This record gives sequence, structure tokens and C-alpha cells, in this order.
Amino acid sequence: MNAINRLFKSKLDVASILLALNLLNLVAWSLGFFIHPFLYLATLLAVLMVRRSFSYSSVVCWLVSIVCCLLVLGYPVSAWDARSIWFFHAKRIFYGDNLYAQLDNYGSFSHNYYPVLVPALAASIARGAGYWNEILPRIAVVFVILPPLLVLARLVSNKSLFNLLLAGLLLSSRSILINGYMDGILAMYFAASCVMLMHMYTAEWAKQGSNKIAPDEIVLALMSTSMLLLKNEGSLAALLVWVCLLPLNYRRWRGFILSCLPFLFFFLIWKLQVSQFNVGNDLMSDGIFMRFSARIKSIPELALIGKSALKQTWIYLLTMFSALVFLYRFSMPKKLLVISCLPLVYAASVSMAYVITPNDLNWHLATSADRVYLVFNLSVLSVCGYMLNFVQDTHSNPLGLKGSP
Amino acid sequence: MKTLTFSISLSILVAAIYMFRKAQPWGLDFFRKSFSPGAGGEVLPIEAQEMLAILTETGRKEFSLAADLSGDVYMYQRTVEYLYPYRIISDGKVFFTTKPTSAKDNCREISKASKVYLYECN
Repeated sequence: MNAINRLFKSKLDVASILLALNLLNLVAWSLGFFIHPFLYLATLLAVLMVRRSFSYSSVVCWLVSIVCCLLVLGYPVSAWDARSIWFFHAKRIFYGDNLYAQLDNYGSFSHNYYPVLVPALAASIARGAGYWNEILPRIAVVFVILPPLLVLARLVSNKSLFNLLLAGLLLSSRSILINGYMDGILAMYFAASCVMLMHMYTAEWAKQGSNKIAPDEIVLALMSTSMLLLKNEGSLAALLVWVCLLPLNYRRWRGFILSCLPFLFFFLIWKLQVSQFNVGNDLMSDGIFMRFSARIKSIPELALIGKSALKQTWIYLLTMFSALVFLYRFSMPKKLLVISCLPLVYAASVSMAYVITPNDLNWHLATSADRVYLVFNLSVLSVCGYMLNFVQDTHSNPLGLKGSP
Repeated sequence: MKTLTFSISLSILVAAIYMFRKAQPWGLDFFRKSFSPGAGGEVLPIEAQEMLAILTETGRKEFSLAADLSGDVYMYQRTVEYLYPYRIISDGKVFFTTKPTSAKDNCREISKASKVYLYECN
């Protein structure tokens, strides 16, 4: 109970409640019912009425979410993967009345082993409305994007910096954030997780080595669980976050157990069922080692992957290195500088998917590189935003920006 | 100075929201229909829309696709997902085609629309 009280005091309550509701909805579907969208709204309304005070940044997040809702309602799901994978899975849950409906592997092009956090939420919205259509269920993406936005709003407290960060996130993600793909959503979660990690490393409780569970840890655990259940690359993102938590959890058994819970939850609610139904992962299909060894020796193919990655990320790479050089002058804690490189580790690791892909490499890069590296791009922007905010807070206004709310 | 910085950053955010909105396809007609059952199929191929209408009319739950439809990856995937819970099976006894000439002698036309035909074979 103390941890929950502290969560409310930390102003991460709305984000954590939304994150928890999204995950509870998944559990509910696995047990044969669902969380009605009105329950979401009623819970949020209750929390907001209890809270009564709102920061400028959180109000901006709510306004952006309302804009996203209006945009989502103005066009049916039309992007290829959004239809063929994510909202097809939602439709299967809705009509099959079962979280695991897709595991019969009907429509195998649909990658039926993909996790279903957003599809389950979309199915709940359709079930709440009482019918399926091609427009309304996409509003689920807004429910899922809002929590990481609120986390960023809480941690990048400077109004001007948050304005610029949010502008950067929206411009960089373009249509990918709300078109029904999971990549933009995963990018927001990983960005918020990186920033949360940096915040935790400078937090007072971490410095004292307290064994008590901090609100930040609960939110990070919920975000890690969400990343695992968003899409396959989320496992890599959650694993990197877990590794970064290890030094913090040294001699903190409660923190360590909490950091492991997302993986246990993911295994129990999804992976176990997928393995029982024996639904295959095409990326890990037969010949993975042959493909790996063939491609790793092929300089032109590696160059192609590198060129594609650079094309998508060069401006963010430059931003990151410029920020690091700039911030080094302000004697930033070394730990923060190390964690700020986490997006780079993610980008390098996720590039391995192209090394082992069974598809034509040119086609795979052309159809997915902009989405896959979006995680890196948004994370870099968020990390830079947080570090500038940190400098602004710890030095006497070196950037000349309007202060925190 | 601080107010000026804040105003500039806010202007940039508003401009970003405007550009973000421009990157999204949007239609007032869709917005009006967003709370109607079955709305939004208009963005899909006309063949898929017609197949759904025929299946709804005839009450058949399973069907096959002739090679002219199943060979087109985009058409195939849109048919599978849009027509669900109607399911594609591979026995080929009841099938959709865009080319009526591809039907064999022992097949009869059950229904037709402007682009697709539904046949049943013995």
C-alpha cells in the first residue's frame, strides 16, 4: 500500500493506472471477459477528480491525445501491417471471444505468434461499442500512447523543453505513431523507459540503496511488460532495460524481483500459449544459422543494412553526439551518459533481424527500416530532452529557458 | 527572455501538431460514420467489398478464391482479414473469381457483382 501511496504522490498515477488497465484487459480476455472502455474512462475521471492539480505538460499530453483521437476517427485502418496483422488479430479476438483465437494459425501471413496488447484493447473497444468496424477500434492506439507521453511529461518538467521534445516526437514519427503499426508505440515506450532509467539513476532512493519499491520502478515494470506484449522487438527493448536495472538492484532483492516480473507475466499470458499451439516464428525458422553465416560474410549485404540504418538515423545520431559533447561540459553523471547510449545499443541489436531475415533483404529494408529505427530516433530525442532538462535543473538556468511548472 | 523562449517553443509545438495532422489521411465522411457498424470498408479493394456483400446475402460461411484473386498478395490478405469471420478454405467447391470463363462445366454461378462472381462446383 505504501508503494501505491507513493505512486499517487509522484504524479505518475494516471500513467500507471492506464498501463495497468491495458495489462489487466489482457488478463481479462484470457479469462473470458474484457475491461469495458467506460471503465477506463470512469477510472481516469475518478483519478483526475482526486488529483485536481495538473502540470502544463500533462495538459498538453491530454490535448495531443484528443487530437489523435479525432484523427484516428477520421480514417479507417489502411496501413498494410495494421490491417494484415494487428487489427486482424483484434478482429479475431472480437469474433472468437478469445485472446488466443489467432493461435489456430488461420491466415498465417499474419504472424500469429505476435503478442496482442493493442489488438486486445481494440477488441474491447469494439465489444464495448457492440460491433466491429474498420475505424473505431484504432482508438486503442491512443489509449496505449498516452501513458509513455505522461511519463515523459512528468520527467521532462521544463515547459519549453517539453514543447520542443513533443514537437520532435510528433514530427519524427509522422503517420507511424497512430496508423495502427506497433513500431511508433514501441518507440514511445522505449523512449519513456530510457528517460525513466536516467531519472532513477539520479533519484535519491537509488543513491541511498533503499530496498523499498519506488514508484519509478513500478511504472518502469509496467512499461517493460507493455513493451514485451506490444511486438517482438519489445523483448529486446525490455531486456536492455532489465540489464540497465541490474546495477541499481544490486543487493535490492525487491527491486530485482520486480524487474523480473514483466518477463514472467509475458511468459504466462502469451509465450506459454504460443508454444502450446506450436505457432512458428518465421524469423527463427530453419536455416537461421546458415542465413546468419552467409550474410555476415557478405560485405555488400552488411553495407546495405548499414547504409539503410544510417539513412534513417543520421540526423538523430548527430543530435545524440552533439548533445553528449555539449552535456559533457556540464559534468553530467557518467551513469547518465552511459544510459544515454542505450538507444544506440538497441539500434545495433535490432539490425541483427536484417542479418537473419529469411526475406529478400532489399525488400525487407525498404518496407520496414523507417519503422524499425524509429525506436532509436524517438529515444534519442527523449534522452537528449531529459539531459537538457537535467542540466537546466542542476545548473543555474544555462539554457535560459522558462523554469519548471 | 524566458517568456519569449516559451512562446517560440509553443509555436513550434503547434506547428508540429499541424504537420502531424497533415501526415494523417482524414475524411469528414469517415468521421461521421466512425460509430456505425461495419463502417470503413470503402478503403479496401472493390472486389473484397463485393465478396463480403455476396457472402452476407448468401449466408455462406466458407469459400475459396480462384487463382486470379489468391495470386495477388494484396488482394488475398485484404480478403482474408476484411471478410473474417467468413473463412477461406482450400477445397475450391465454392469459390470467387473475377473471370467467369475460368469456371468449369460442372460449376454453376451462385451470385455475381460488378467485379466478382461466386461459383459452386459439384
